[in-house]
Amino acid sequence: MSKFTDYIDGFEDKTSTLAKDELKELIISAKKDKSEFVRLQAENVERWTVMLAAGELTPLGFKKLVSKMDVLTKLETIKLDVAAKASAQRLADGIQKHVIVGLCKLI
Amino acid sequence: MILFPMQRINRWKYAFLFIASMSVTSTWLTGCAIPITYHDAATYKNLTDLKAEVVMLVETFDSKLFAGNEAAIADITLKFRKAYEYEKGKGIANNDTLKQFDEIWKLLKEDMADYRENGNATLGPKYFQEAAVVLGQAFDIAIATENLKNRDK
Repeated sequence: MSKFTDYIDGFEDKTSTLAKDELKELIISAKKDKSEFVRLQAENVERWTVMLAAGELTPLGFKKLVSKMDVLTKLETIKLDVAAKASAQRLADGIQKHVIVGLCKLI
Repeated sequence: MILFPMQRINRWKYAFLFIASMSVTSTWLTGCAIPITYHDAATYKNLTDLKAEVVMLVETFDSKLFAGNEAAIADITLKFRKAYEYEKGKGIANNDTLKQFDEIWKLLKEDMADYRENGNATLGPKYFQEAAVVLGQAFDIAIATENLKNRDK
């Protein structure tokens, strides 16, 4: 985290556009999140910031990578949606198998 | 237990209603409210194969000229298209997976366009290394999504 915080702290931001402490806190707390997806995204931002500081990414490259996080979020949202649908499907299949086919034969 | 004629009729009526309502519920749940396909081993294989090939290809974009990768780009485009058409053929119940293929394709298409236009000159010497990481993460989510689906009976 030190290279990341050093870089953020090193910005001269006279207009206070960047909320340095909030940004650092956001990344620190996201890295401890119980969701693997959130942790991974925080690690991405931290790594890309360090690479930006080291000149391995240009500001344009950095912005492009950050914008790709939107796509990853869309994919994750679909995944969560599918998990809910699969759960409902298990219920429906269970009703079909155990109630309609099983129980209803006995009553 | 002795049942009077009216009670006997009611008992059958309730049993019939119970079965009918369960059938309707089951049909409604499976047919209308849950547009989702079952786990598909071919989809899983397509995604894992594509992940390996796409990530390895995009990783080379930082160091290899576009001309040297043209054939590989055409090859991966065709493979992706084939896998996409396979998913599309499953119909509306497979919309979630199809949307994921769409989003991954947009990521890859953007990377290929950036590579063709400027290489990594305007984006940084290690840009495509990280773009490949993002693509790998995108495929991982799609693979995990397929694994969440129920196995068909």
